[in-house]
Amino acid sequence: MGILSFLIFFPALIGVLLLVWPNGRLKQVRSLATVASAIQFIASLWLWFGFVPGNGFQFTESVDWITRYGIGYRVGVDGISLLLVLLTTLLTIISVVSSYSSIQTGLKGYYASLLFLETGVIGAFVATDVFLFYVFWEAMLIPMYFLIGIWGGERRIYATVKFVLYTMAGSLLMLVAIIWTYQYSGGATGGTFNLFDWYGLTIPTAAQPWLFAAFALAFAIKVPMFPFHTWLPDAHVQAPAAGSVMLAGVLLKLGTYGFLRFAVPLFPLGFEYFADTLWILAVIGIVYGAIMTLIQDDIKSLVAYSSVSHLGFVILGMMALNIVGATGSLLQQVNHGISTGALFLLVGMIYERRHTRKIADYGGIFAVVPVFSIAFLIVALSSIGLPGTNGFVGEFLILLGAFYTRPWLAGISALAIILAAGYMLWLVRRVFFGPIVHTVNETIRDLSKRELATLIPLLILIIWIGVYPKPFLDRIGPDLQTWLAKARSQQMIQTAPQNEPAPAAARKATPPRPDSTLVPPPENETPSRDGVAMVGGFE
Amino acid sequence: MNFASIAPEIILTAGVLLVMVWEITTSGRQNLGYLTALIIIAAGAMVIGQYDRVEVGFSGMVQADRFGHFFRLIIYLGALLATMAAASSWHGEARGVFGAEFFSLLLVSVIGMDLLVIGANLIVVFLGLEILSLPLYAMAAGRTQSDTAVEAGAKYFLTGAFASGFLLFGIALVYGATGAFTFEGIGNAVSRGAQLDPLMWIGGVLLLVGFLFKIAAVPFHSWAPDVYTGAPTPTVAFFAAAPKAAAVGLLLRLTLTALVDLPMETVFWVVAWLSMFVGNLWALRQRDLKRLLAYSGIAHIGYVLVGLCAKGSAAAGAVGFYLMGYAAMTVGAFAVVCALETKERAATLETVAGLGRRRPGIAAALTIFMFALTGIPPTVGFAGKFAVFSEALKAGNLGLVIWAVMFSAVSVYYYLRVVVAMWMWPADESIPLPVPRGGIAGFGAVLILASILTLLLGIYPQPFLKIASESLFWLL
Repeated sequence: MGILSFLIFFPALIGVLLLVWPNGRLKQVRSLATVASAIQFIASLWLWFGFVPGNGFQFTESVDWITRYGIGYRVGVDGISLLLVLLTTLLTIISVVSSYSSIQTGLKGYYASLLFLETGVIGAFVATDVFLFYVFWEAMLIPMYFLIGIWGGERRIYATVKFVLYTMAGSLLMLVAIIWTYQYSGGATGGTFNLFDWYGLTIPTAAQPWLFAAFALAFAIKVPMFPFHTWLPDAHVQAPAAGSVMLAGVLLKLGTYGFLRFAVPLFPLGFEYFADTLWILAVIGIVYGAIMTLIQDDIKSLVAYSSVSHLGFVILGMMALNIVGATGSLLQQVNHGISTGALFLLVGMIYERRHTRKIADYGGIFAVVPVFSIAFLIVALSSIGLPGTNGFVGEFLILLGAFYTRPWLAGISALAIILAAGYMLWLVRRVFFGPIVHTVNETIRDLSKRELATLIPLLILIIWIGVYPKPFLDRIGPDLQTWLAKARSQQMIQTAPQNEPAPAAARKATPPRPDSTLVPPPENETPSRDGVAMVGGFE
Repeated sequence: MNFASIAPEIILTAGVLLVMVWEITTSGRQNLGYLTALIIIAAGAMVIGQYDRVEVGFSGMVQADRFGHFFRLIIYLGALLATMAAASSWHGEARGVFGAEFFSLLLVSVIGMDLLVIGANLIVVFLGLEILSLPLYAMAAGRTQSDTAVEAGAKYFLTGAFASGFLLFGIALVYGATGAFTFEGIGNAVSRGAQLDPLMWIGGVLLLVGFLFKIAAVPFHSWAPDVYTGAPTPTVAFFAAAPKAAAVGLLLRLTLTALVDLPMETVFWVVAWLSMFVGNLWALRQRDLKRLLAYSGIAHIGYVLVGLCAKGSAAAGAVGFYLMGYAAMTVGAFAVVCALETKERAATLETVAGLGRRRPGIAAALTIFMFALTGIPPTVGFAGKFAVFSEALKAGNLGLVIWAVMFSAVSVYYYLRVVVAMWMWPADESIPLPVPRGGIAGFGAVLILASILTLLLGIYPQPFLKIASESLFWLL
């Protein structure tokens, strides 16, 4: 059994163990969950150190599973999934530790759900068999459904049913598309669900938009992209703090990851067909999300809406279809997991003390809880994208990449950063500064050592990625080059023979691809293709 | 006269007599259920023993091939789980009902089902259908003091008689067109050109209609919710899986060997389309669990028929696999309903409210069944749907599959509502739960067996898919 199988099945095993653990031993339940998630995190560091950038999929395992349908248990990790797996294991242990005081009922089920969720998410990130991916993708709904529905806020049932219905509705059409592609991959020999074989398929031009649409719908709901975002504020606000951390930190990333891993490289022509729509939706999401964030009066829903805006940036970077934008997009996924995860943690901590999330109930608490306030400030600045924090690196790369492809849309999106500064700083001002209006706020406790311990790793990462992102970029760069080649090459092959005016050649010369020093130099790409491929048919 | 071909049925017949004698000679009805379960297991062992052999008997009237063996095993699985649920029905009234007559009728009905799946002749098929149906009418009316049960029995009897009429008429017309009762003879006549004969067309459709009644497919479904509500729940648990498996098995054999060149998929296509629509939409507003499961059963027959629309042995294999999983999850769900209802109070959403705290074990099992019926991995509900939809897409039925997944998404709502009630609603302690906290051995065994099957077939379906599809090669 390889390291990836361990990472997938170990939490599930401990989860089952927790469920059958004798009642009434709360301390033991907590300790077991903590130890298990710590082991899990340490084991995942193995991936970080053992990973060789540029070697494609690593730590691969492949076992036959349902041979009748060409389904295998195939897993592997590459630069695109590596950081997301590590983010998952980190946020899981933080979620577990942060729930010590906030969750007092049904501990066994709660921690088991968190661990099952970890299994589902990691499984989905590392699956290189599309059927296996789908299984994890759907199965992870169950623990999240219970986390929101049992341990959530007042409107938890509404929120959790909405969450599941939205996600299922999108996923089932993706299932049809998956089965269709499987049948197509068959030919005479019987099909396969092996992702690597699927990458080699030449899927008919006419079918690609449909297939892409079916995949994209599932992923767009998960991201969530405008106008499929309406489940998100409900789910986030109602979920328990740790549930929000996992939801924002990793579950949403599955949507963007799905675009990167499946929808775009498998159906590049479909992607091209919907490119305009996606650009527009991403920009609307960014701006609309930021405006909606401005008017929230509840801290948690403010953070939730800011996710819509941030995830819009992630999509924007992917749409740029050049290495700078793609790198920014992937890095920003990690950044959003760290920053928004930390914000939800902080909101959960203050909620535990005051049992309110209304902004108006706070004010002037900086002097009362300085440590909490400073932590919040750092995270808020990282969320805005202040230079020196991780958010800056990600958003800068995204905008740079997008600017080379669609300057106007990138420009509009850049304006949203100002809005972001507006809503975050305004939030900070209203919560932390000014006079103390409510006297009850004068006696709030500051962070305990345990709470500080859950935040410190995230704060370190915020600064680390902000100041020295090279170790991260080194690991993701080469695989993104491969990804770009997949996302672009088929368009060249397939559009060329149809005697239409070659899309790229007919257009005016485009600026050459920016050669950012942040990005490792491309290895397997010929320079001559750059200008052509970058905008091939995208205007 | 090859008695080996009906050896399992001989065991079952002996079992019927044994059960009746047992009740007269010994006291304590509690053990009757376990005795019946043992008889079914013995018959199943017999089938497994001759699994690789093809036994043709009685001048070709009966053909116990691998297809027949496989479907017999599915029927036994459904019957076994239902028997165990009935055996552990403990509340006072039920103790009166589930005596020797219940279990012997159940065994007789199983014999009829067997004849449906091993019969190679329309006369045997008709006999099988009648042997199957008559005990079911009596079982539906089993609670003789209850008006609703009598109504259920009467309703079921009337519609059933109607269906038998259709079937007989269909047999007559097919015989008129082809001059044959055997599947082989009909198949030969059809390929010689009888499919152009309008008699053959009408007869073929009437044959199918007779069985579509039995599986409660729309528009022949209207009896099901009322009968499910009125009949005793262990009976319904038996209704829900075993007769459906038998009828679908017969439909497969009929369309693949006798009505080969007739476009019967069209009939299935329309019925599947309607069943998924009606079953899922009507289930949305049910608060009574038995009615909810009745409509859910109609919807699931729709998914099964999606598989029947795709001709060929691979599709039939997927259908067989689906039925195997469906037997486990639906009988499991009905077993839970058995445990929750009392004489005065049907099991509704209010009954299961807070069940997660009141009876966590039962709630966990019902949760598994609900997720399986929804079709969420890693349960057999997902694996089965995947297999059926996959074959349907291979046959080019894209529109039907999209229709099916759309209604699967609709079904999420009503299945999930049961789960929501169990784990997220506050418990209403004033509603009595007949199940004692520690549970009951036989009942626990049903839940554990059904849950394990639901998960095992979902996580590792390969061997079961293989058996299911191999059984179908015999038909082609």
